[in-house]
Amino acid sequence: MVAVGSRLVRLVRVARVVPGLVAGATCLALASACKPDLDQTISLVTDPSVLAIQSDPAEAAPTTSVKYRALYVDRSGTIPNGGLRWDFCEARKPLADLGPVNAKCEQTAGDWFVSLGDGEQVAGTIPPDACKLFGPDVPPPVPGQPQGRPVDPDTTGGYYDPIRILAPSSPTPITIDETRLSCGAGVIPAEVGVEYQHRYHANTNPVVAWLAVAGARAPLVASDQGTNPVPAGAHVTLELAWASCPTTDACGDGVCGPDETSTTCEADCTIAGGCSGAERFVVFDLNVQAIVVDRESMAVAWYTTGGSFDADRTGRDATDLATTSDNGWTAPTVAGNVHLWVVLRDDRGGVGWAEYVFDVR
Amino acid sequence: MRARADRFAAATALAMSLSVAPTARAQSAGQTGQAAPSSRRVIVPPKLVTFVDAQFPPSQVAAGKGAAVLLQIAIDATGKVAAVSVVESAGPDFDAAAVGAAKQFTFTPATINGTPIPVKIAYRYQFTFTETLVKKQTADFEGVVRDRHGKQPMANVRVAVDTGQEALTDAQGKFRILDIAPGDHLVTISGESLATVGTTETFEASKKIDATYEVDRKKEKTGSADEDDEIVVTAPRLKKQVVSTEVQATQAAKVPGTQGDVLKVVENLPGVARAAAGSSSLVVWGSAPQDTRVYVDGVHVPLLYHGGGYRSILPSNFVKSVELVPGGYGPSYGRGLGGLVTVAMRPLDEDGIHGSAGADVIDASADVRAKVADRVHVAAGIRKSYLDTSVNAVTSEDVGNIVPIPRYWDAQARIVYELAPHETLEFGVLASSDRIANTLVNPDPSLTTQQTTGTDFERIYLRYEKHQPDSSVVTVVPSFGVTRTTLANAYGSIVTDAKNDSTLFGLRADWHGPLADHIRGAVGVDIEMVASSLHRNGSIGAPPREGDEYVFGEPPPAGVAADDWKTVIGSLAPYAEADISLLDDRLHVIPGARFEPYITSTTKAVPVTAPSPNEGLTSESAEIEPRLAVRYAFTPEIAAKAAFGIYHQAPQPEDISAAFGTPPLGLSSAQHYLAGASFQLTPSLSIEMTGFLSEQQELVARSLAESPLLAQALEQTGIGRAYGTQFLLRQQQVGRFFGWVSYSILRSERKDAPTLDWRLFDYDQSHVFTALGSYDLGAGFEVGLRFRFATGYPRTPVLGSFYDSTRHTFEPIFGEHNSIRIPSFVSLDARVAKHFKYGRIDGEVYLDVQNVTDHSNPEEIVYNPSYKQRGYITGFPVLPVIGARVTW
Repeated sequence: MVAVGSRLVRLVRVARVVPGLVAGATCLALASACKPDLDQTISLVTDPSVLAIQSDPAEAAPTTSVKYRALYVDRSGTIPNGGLRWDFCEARKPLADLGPVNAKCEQTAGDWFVSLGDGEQVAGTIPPDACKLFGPDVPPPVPGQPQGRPVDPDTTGGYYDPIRILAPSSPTPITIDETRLSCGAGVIPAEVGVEYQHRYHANTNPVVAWLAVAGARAPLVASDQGTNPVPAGAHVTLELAWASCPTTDACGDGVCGPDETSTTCEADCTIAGGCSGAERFVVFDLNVQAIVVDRESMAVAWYTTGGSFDADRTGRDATDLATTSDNGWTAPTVAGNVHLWVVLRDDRGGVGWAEYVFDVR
Repeated sequence: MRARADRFAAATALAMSLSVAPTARAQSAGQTGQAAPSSRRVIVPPKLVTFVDAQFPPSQVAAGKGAAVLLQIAIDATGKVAAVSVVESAGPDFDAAAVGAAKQFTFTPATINGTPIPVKIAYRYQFTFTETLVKKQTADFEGVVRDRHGKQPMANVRVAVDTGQEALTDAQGKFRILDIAPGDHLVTISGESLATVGTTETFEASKKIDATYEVDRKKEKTGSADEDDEIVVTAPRLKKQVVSTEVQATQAAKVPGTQGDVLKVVENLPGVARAAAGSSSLVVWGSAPQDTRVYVDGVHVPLLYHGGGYRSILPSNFVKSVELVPGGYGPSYGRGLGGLVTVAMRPLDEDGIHGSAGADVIDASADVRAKVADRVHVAAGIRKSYLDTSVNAVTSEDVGNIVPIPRYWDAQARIVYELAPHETLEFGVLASSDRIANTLVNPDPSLTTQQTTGTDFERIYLRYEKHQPDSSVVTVVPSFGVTRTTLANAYGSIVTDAKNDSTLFGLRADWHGPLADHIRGAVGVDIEMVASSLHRNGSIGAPPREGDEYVFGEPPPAGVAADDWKTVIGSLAPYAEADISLLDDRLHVIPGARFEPYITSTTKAVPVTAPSPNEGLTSESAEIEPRLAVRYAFTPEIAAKAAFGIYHQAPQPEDISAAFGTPPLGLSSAQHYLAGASFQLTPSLSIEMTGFLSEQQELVARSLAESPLLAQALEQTGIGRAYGTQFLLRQQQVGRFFGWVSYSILRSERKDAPTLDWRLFDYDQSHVFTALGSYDLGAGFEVGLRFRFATGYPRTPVLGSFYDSTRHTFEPIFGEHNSIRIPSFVSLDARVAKHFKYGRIDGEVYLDVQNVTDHSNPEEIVYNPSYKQRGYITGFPVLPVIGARVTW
C-alpha cells in the first residue's frame, strides 16, 4: 500500500501553519492527501506467517509435475512443519472479481479445491485443463453458448494457476500463490505464435546471490552457517544481490536468450538454461500486435523479527540494469538473535529467498 | 432600444410672410399718436426671441417619421403671441404640439417706421424624427393588472418593487415604474380589493419588463384556504418543469463555498448528492454521474465542473441562470436516465465596453463584453488555474508529484448579431481543458503509481432566436465540437491507457408559443451524433466501475488487454408538448412525447488479431418516450403537481469495446414518477416538497460469469431504483436577504443480475441537508453562511485479508456489498464580501472560508497494507480562499 502516507500528513500539517491564503490553497490541493496514520509495516514478523511460496519449476505446462515449498516463519525463525495445507483452486475468476483469484479460493472448502497435501513442501501436477481455465485457451464450452473468453495475460504475457495454502496457526490463515503456466501467447496470428513458441523460454526462479552490509568486506552468512554480529540499535545499509543476466544474446553464455533457439545456439538452448537474475524474455505486445523483448523487474521483500527497515519493499524496474537493491535496517536495542529474511521475486512469478540471523550485541 | 420623441430640428421659420392687419395698423397708429405717415413706410418684421421645443408626439414615434405644420401666429404690438391657428395640418397630434409650443414663443414686435404694430405671420413648424439609442443602466417595468376571472383591468392597485419604487394602476389597469436597479426583485401587488401577493422578477439593464398580472379579487372571507388570493404571471413560455430549481446568477454568486462561481450553486440544490472533496461528479437523485446531462444554451457539454470540482467550466459573468431538473423533465430533452442541468448564458446587449477580471489562490480569469457595431455585440473570456504553482511555492517538497492538483483552463467567445428587433443570431465558442497528474514513488517500482487524466472539449455553435409578437419563440442551435478524454494510470507495471476522441454534432430546433386559447405548445427536434475513436489497454478492472467491490488504492487485476475501436452513436428526436390550461388556469395538463430512433455502430464486434479484418456491428432502435406533467392549484398558495416520463440512454462508447465491454449493448431505460406540492407561505417564502421514484432497466454491469463469453465482458442485466423525497424552503430576495434550506432523503439501489440481491448504489446518500443564506449588511458588505450535512457514500466492508505471495500483497476479503458507509459529512462555510465602486469600476473582495469549524470529514475509507487497520482520508480542513474581482 502507500508507504508515504505519514509523509503526506506531515505535509498537510506544515501547510496548515503557513499563514495567509496560499496555505488555504495548499490545503485545498492536499485535501485528498490527508491520510490517517495507519501502521504501514508488514516487514516485522510477530506471528506465524507465510512469507513466500516457490514453485519449482517456476513455470510449468499442464500435466507437468511441480514442487512447492513455503517460507513459513514466526518470531523464532523458520517453522519446519507448520501444518500447512495445500490445494489447487480450480475456480476461474469472473471479470467482476477484481482480486487476483476467484473469491471462492478464499473459502476453506469447496469442490473447486484439489488437494496437494500437507507440509512445508508438496508436489503436484498442473491440471490438464489449466490453460483453458486460467490461460489463453478457449474455456470449457458451455452448452448452447458461443465461444468463451480466454483469460487476459499479465503484462509479462503470463497466465497463472492458483494454489491455496492454509496456515491454521497464522493470523492470516489463507495464502494464495499462482504458478506460472506455459500456455503460449494465446490468440495471436499463427506465424507470430510459432515465433513466440521458439523464442519464449520458461522462467527461472531468482536466487539471492548474497546479502551484505554496505561497506563490509564479506557477505553475511546465511542462517544455516552461523550468525552475523551487529551492535544494538545500529543502523546498517543492507545490500542484496542477484545474478547478472546477459543483456544481449551470446551463444555460449549459458543462458538461452530470447533471440536464441536450440537451432541457433545448441549450447545454451538444448537444455534451456535460465538465469537466476533479471531475465530477458519475449512477450506479445497487445498494443503493437507484435513480439517484443522485455526484461524482468525485481522486487525484494524484507522481513525481520526485530528492529525495523527503512522500507518494507525495494526493487529494480525492468529498465534498471543494477543487480542489487539496498535497504536500511535499524537493529533492535535489546541484545539477542534476530532473524531476517529476504524474498526476491521477479515479475514472472519466480521466487527465491534466504534467511539470516543477526546476533545483536 | 427605444426611440424617443425628438425636439425641433428647425428653429426658424422656413417660410414666413408678413401681413399687417388693418386693425393692427389702426391700433398701432392710434396708439402711437404720431404724425401722419409719410409716403415711404419702413416695415420691420417681428423677430423670434424665445423658441419653445414641441414634444414629438409619442403616438407618432412608432411611425418614425417627421412632419411639418404651417401655423399662423398673431403677434401683438408687445411681441407676445396673441393667437395661433393651423393653416396646413400634419395631423391632430402634430398640430396640437406645434400650436402648444408656438403659443409660448416671444418676438420683438413688428414695426412700421419704428412704431410697434400687431401682425400675423406664417410659421412652418418642422418635426424631425431622429432615432436615438439610449442605453440605460436601469430597467423599466410596466404592465397591467387585471381580474383573473373576468379579465377586467383593476384600477388603484399598488404595484411595488422591493427597491421602494411603486405605482398605482390607472383605469385601464396599467402601471409603469421606471429606472429599476437590475437584479432579482420582489414585486408585490396590493389593493383594497385584493390581499397582498407577490412574485419575483428579474430586471436587466436597459430592458423593459412588460408583465400581465392576473389576480383574484378579494371575497368575503370564510376561513377557507381556497379563497385566498393568487397571482398568476402570464409567462411567455411553457410552464417550467414540474420539479426544478432555477437560481439567477446574481444570487448564485453570493452563495458561501462557491467562491463566487455561479454554477457551483448546483451542489446546493435539492436532490443533488454532495460530491466528495476533489471530485467533480454530479449525482442527481441517485443516478450515475454520466446519466445527468448538461447543456449550455442548448449545447451539450461533457462536464459542468473542472477536475477536482473547484471551478465550473464557465465564468460567472457569462451566466444568466442555471436550472437543475432532477427528473421528470419534458420531451425537449432526453438521452439521459438522470437529471438535467441547463445553463442560460447572459444576454449581450449592452453599449460600450464592459468586462471583469478576478483572481484568487486557485485561478485567475478575465472577460470582456463590447458592442462593436450597430447591431453587433461580442464577448470573450478566459480562465486559467495556477493552484499547482501556488502549492509548489509554499512547499519544500514536490507536492505536485504526490497529490493530484488540477490544472485547467477554459475560454469562451460569443458574437451576437441583431438581425432585427427581437431576432438574434449568435456564434459562439466554448473550450475547456483539464489535467490532473500525480506520481507516488515507492522504493519498490512495482508499487509506484502514476495517474494522469485529461478532458478537453471544444464547441462551436450558432444560435438563432426570434421572439414573435404573439409571444412565441423560435430557437435553432446547431453545434459542433470535439471531446478528448485521456486516462493513463500505472500501478507498477500494470499500465492503463484509455483515450476517447469524440466528434459531436448537435442540432436543437424549438418553437414554443400559443396554439389556442389556454393552450401553449412546443415542437422541435433534437439531434445528436457522436463519432468516437477509442483506444484502451490495461486491466479490465482499471478504473473500477460502479458496483465493483474494491478498496481505495487497491492494485488492479493483473490481466491486461488492448483494443482500438470506433463508434458512432446518434439519434434524431422530434418532440412535441402542450400546456393546456383548464379550470380557470388552476389546472395545467402538460402532455408531451419524444420519438427517438437511435443508431449505434462499432467497428469491432469481437476481438480480432491483425491481420484479421474487423467485423463491425450496427444496431438500431426507436423509442417513444411519453412525458406527462400535471399541476393543480388548490388555492393561490397551495398547488399539487405530478409528472411521469420515460427516458432512454445509449451505451457509453467505452462500454462497447470487444475486449473491455460488449459491442451489442443496447439502450438503458428509466421511468420517472414524481408527485409533490408547493406552498407559498408569504409572497417571497415558499416551501416545496416532491416525492420521486426512478426505476431503471437494462443497466450495464460486469459479467458475473466465471466463463464469460467472448466480447461480453458487460451485460445489461442490471436494474435500479431510486426513491425518496426532497424539500426546499426558499426565501427569495426580500430586502437584503435571501436563502434556502434543502433536504433530500432518498435511497438508490442496484441489482446487477436477477440472481443477486438489491444493494446500495455506490453514490447513494440517504440524507443531504443544506441551509444557506446571504445578507447585505449595507455599505458594500455582504455576509453569508452555509451549513451542509450529508450521509457518506456506501462502501463494502473488509472482513479480513489473505496473502498473495506471488505479488507480495495482502488482498481484502469483503463482507456484504456496500453495507457500511463513510461517516457523515458536516461543514459550516462562511463568506464575507466587500464591494467598492470607483467611477465605472465595481470591485469586490471576498473571503470564502470552507469548514470554518475545522470538522474532520472522512472522504474515503483506507486500510493499512495488511487490512488489519482501517482509517479515513479526510477532506478539507479550514479552507480560506480570498479573491478579488473588478467589473466595469
